[in-house]
Amino acid sequence: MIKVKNLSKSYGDISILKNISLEIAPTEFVSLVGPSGAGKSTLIKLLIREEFPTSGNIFIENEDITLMPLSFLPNLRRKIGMIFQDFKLLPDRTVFENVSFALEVAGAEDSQIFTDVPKVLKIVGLYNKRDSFPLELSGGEQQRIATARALVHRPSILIADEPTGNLDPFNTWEIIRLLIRINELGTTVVLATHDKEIINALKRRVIFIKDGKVIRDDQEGRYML
Amino acid sequence: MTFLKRTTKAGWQSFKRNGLVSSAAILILFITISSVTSVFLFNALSKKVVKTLQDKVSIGVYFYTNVPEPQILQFKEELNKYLNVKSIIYISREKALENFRAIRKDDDTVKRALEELSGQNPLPASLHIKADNPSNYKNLVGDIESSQFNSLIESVDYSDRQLAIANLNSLSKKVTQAGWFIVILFTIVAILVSFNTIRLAIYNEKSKIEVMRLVGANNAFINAPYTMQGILYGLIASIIAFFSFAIILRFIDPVLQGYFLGLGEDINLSNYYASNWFWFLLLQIVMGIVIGVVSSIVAVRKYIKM
Repeated sequence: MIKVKNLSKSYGDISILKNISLEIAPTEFVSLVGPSGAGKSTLIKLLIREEFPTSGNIFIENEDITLMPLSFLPNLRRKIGMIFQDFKLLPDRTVFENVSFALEVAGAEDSQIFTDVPKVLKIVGLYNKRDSFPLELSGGEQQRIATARALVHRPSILIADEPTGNLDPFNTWEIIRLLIRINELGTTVVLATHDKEIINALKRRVIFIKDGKVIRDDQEGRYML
Repeated sequence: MTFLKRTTKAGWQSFKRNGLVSSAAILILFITISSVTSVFLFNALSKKVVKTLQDKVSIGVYFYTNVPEPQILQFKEELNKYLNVKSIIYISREKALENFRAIRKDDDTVKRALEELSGQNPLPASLHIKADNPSNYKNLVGDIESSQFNSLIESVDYSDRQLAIANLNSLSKKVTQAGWFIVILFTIVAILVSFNTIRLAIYNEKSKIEVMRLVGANNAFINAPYTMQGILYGLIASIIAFFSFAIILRFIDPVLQGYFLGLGEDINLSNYYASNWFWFLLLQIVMGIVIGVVSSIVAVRKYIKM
């Protein structure tokens, strides 16, 4: 599903990722763990081609995205659902419009939008707030909109970059439970976090990154740095 | 079709929901369109004033009182053949006296003086010639003075008006040149101001554009709602400007007519605006939409490239 080969990323003289290689199989739930500045977010940016590597290759579904022309990027991003720490919602669009936007950009028909969006809003528990604007909702609710948006086009991969970083413990677990459920439905989930409790509770594969290198890769890891 | 429907809806919603930014962009575009429209009107006004003044200028050719009328009319026929002559009015000695009496009908001294002449007419017959262009007056006078009829002429009053005609000629050229210079300068400044206002409005959208890119929107999908917003800014600003001018000119006309006293009802910008309404509306709409759309596309492109 995802294959990273000899990947390095530098900004001038500062080396962020140093020759890392890893593979993630379909339907896996993988946590990327590491202290702030370890290179987790940079790796995620490279996975969605928001950044370009200094050297190395990234294969998503056997396609080398480092060789992908710019005009193909929208298609790549439609294959991957993304959840961010700061939610990245469109503030002037309602909950429904934020979620439907991901389908609109993929060219979905109105009939599909009006079937799938309510369904996914029910899954994240926000159907009753479909006409609210993001700023009228709590942080947890905003992250659930972002999750619904990431899910609605049924991506094969879901990448979550510190999705619980701005949430209280209750909402944190709501989002984690949602990610587990999404994974159980067959979506590969990549979760970047430095939350010890989450990692220990998940009991799934953990890749430890420190100073731009993979230092451990445990199949049923616990938080150890 | 679905794409067009969605982008139109998104553009309209963004326009509505960002009312303050939209209002600011429309206001600046309105000022830009109004400035350029004003310059066009100013240019039309200056041309009209110069033209009206030019129409009031003529060469007066005064004949000796003993020159018989047929000879004068023969000279008039000859002058009519000149290419640069626009019109010639013949005023006979009798008509000149009649005009003089009419003008001075309340002046007792003049009345008594005319009675003392006991029916004699001291006024000469004259031809009043208008050239088709002020720059032709000098040549025309030269032609008259070198013609075979010169011996019949007592005086040509062009020399008195020579300076005024020359000044008018030069003023006419300068006003036209300055008008175009102002049109171009104003247009450039106004476009730059509008352009930057819309860019600033879209600068606020930077994070939204980033989100659109991250969820897989292609460039056309990102651009289209902003282009639609640009069209709306331009369209609304131009329609407001069009009707504002239709109203404001009605108040300006009496002021202008008072200022250009003597030119009277010739100065009427309302009529000029009304009779050219289609071209003004077209100018305003095209300008509004072009500035709105180009500014939007350039501003968004900067963030798409990030």
